[in-house]
Amino acid sequence: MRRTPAWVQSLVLRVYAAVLRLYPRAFRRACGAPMLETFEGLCRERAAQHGAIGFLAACAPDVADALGCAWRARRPPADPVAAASVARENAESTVAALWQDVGRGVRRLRAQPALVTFVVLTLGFAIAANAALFSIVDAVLLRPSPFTAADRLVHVLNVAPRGFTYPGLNGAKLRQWRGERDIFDAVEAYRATPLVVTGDIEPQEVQAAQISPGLAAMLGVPPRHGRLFVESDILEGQPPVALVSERFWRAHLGGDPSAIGRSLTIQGRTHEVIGVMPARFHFPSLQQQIWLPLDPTSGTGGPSTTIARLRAGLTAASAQARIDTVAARLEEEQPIPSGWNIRLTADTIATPPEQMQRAVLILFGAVGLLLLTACANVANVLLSRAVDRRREFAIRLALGAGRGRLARELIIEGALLGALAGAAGLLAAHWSLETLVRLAPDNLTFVTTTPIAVDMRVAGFGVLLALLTGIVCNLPPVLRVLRASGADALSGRTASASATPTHRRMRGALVVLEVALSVMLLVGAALLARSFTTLNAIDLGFEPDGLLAVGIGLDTERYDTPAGQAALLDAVAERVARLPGVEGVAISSGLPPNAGEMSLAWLETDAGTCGDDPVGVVSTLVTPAYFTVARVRVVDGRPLQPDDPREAVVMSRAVARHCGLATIVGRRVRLGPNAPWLTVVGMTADVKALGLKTEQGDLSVYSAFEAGTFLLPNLAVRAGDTRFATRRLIVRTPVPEALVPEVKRALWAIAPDQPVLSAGPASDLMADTIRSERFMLTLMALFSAVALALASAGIFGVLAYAVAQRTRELGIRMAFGATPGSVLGLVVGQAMTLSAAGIGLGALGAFVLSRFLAGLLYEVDPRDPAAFALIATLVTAVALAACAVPALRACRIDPATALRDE
Amino acid sequence: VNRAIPPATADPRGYLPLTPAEFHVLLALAGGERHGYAILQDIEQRSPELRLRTGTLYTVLKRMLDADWIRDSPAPKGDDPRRRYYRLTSLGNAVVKAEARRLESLVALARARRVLARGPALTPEKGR
Repeated sequence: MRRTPAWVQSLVLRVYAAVLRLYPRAFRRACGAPMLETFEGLCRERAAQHGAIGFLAACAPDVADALGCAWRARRPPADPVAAASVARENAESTVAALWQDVGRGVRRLRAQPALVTFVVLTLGFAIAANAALFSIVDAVLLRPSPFTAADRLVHVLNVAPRGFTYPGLNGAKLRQWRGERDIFDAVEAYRATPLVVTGDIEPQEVQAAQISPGLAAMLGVPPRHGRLFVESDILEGQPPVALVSERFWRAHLGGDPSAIGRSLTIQGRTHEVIGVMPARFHFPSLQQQIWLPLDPTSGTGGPSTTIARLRAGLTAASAQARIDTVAARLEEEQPIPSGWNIRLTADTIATPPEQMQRAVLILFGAVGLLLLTACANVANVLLSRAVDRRREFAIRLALGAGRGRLARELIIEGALLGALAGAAGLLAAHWSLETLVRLAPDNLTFVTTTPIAVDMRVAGFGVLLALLTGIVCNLPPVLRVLRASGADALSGRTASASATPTHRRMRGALVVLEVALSVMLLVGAALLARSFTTLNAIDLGFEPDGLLAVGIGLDTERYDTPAGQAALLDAVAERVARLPGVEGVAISSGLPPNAGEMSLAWLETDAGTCGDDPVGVVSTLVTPAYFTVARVRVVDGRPLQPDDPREAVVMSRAVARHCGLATIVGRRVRLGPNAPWLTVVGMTADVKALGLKTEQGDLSVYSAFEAGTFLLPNLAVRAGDTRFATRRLIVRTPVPEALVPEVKRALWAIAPDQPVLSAGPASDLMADTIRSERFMLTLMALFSAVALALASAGIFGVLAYAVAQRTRELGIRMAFGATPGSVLGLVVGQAMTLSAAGIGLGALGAFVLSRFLAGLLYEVDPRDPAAFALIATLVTAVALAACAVPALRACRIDPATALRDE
Repeated sequence: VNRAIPPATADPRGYLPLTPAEFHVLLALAGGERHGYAILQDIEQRSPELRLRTGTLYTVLKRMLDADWIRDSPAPKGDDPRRRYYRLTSLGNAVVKAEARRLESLVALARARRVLARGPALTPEKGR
């Protein structure tokens, strides 16, 4: 016969003994021991009959039965009336009871609109922030990429012989690697570029991209209407064709499938629309509206970016290993000057850039902390409400209501509050998300499949979060009800009975938590703010404030000679200069942060070559007035002058540094072995030509328009597809924004159908280059400010309550000679204790967490003591302010009144 | 199971009807004083369909102790000291009798209405 092992028996007995402890004490005293003994007898009998499984199966109902009996024994029917009510309660179906509780909860909430408003505002804001951030996290990190096998899509970099890498393969290399079918499924290329669209539609500049014919197919995106590019589209002499985005199609082509075959004037040439791309084809970013075919092997029209899909089963690392082998073989068989090697980017395009992932996750963490702060605050308020309701609970307990029942009511109330706050929060998230996305940096939306919006997933997340927070906030009061003893609450006088030490500790702990959480958020915001101000304090090398930049698409067919173009632009400049409020006008091909195209140069001076590796040089064509109007500082030599020979140029100090010279002025310089020699007449300070954060644009060269295209071949008009050359009218004025219509009128008075591509203050353009920093900072500052407000409200609430509670005690103290000052000290001391504990905890948390910010900070240590000290001071000051009213009230207590009142 | 025994009345019929568990426990004790395990075994033998569990048994026992239908009875020497024996009080005796009579009168009523056949109780129809 099988027998149950002894340890199983003893385990079951132990469980049973534990269940017995749930019985009321009176029951245990009378029946506990014999009950256990009886069960032991049963166990012995069953153990002899069954194996372990059978034994457990036989004993389980006993344990369940004992549990049920213990539960019922805990709510003994005290008298027939209560018994009847218990019977009724049992009779009700659970669902009906639940509905009843919900109804009761709704009525109770309706009776306290102030509380509901407070909770809905507090939790609602936190939930809105969480839902909004979740929708970004969802779109950016959780959703799969819109492209087929995105985890095998990599960018391909060209490797120069000495290891220097730059994007894009030249024709021969691209053709060669396309043939390596063991490594690549496909190798394609693209180049993002703005294009001017004129003709039937309003002249405008749209973001567009040239893509190689196989690119869309490689990404696995079929057209919504029409067809994709085919190889013959890039052949010489074929009629120009274009793909348009769904957005462009709806906005400008009537959203009609018959738009296929219609023509668009792009860059002054007629293109046939052959297809409409679906909205999910965000390539290479959300902004692209038009795609033109690109011949990746021709090499004309400037550098393109190469993107490839690896063969199934390969990772970037394993593919790179094969590439290195093949490249080494090619190097031996048929060496070429540029070398055969290429490098794959480690991240596939399915993975958003690490920097962005980090930023999004940090913001998500921040809203999590904010939600916790809001929860602590609401819990605090609900706790004080629960104290007010203590008497009610006591009476109901005494009348026989179960604790479980009361707890259930409270939990339902919490869930109701949560649901209200959640609904408000989701609505707020829905409304604010558009603004949020507009503030967000472009690269945030790069990899998203769907527009960032409050959809079902986000709504589900929000609802879940709301119910959960509603219940969690109500947990402290629920715990109190479960522990409260009815007799105590009834017997004691309500006023003094309400302030038990547990209650005070709980509220104190919640306030400390709030302060700590807000300190963590504030430190994050302070670090970002310091980083941001550091970025803003960078010497730009020119003065964008008070500068208006107007982009003009110069029609190079109508004005087809440099002289004609110059005449037109000079006339415009002259007219604009006469406008009131204009201090100076210049014309250039670009202005930082878009000073010009960066091209590779092998810099060489008459003193020798400057290093072996090519460097990126930004070339800008300018009129002589450019230096004074943009206030580009010329540190040596002189600015360009109207009568300079065409090889005269101005270069930045970074060029002198690169070539190991003190000054470049007076030198002859060329940008490559085949480029013409230039004469440097002036040297500028370093200009952040391509934006604030990057040093890539530091090497700059400026030349006159008349000479530029000849001297700097990279500025040559792009082959075939460019009719409109971008020129910037640069106007120094104290009122850049207000001048825009005037400047446009002045331009159109001279050249009526010149498209104006952009117009706005130069400072806005520069600020755009640190958009992601501003986005992070704005959100963090907002979240931490709200958290601080909540924390100070918490401190105020607890102290005001404490002072009200201690009125009598303080009155006695004052009657015995305590000065108002010492009473003040008492209250302030309590506030300082709470805030100091919170600051300590929060600083510790921030110290641990701030390292996650490290990658996002510009020249600021994540443990920057100044930021920590600043926040500690700020929070202390806010705590002082929060306790001012309660403290003043405390020292105005009139002992006589206080003593009489009780 | 979870019921309150009505306040004491002079007439034991005031306590009726009993729950099945109460009736069976009283019946078991009517055969002489027993401890909890013995009560379970007794009921298990007589009416296996009742499936009385320890928790319910002691809930009933506690209630009847409080209502003075049963009392603790001294245990024989040498027995497990935790084991408690219970015996009927005269009130308990009266209650179980009253319940039995009530059931008897119900059965009589059922017979009169020809719900049940006259004569001895039907034997279960087995093996047909």
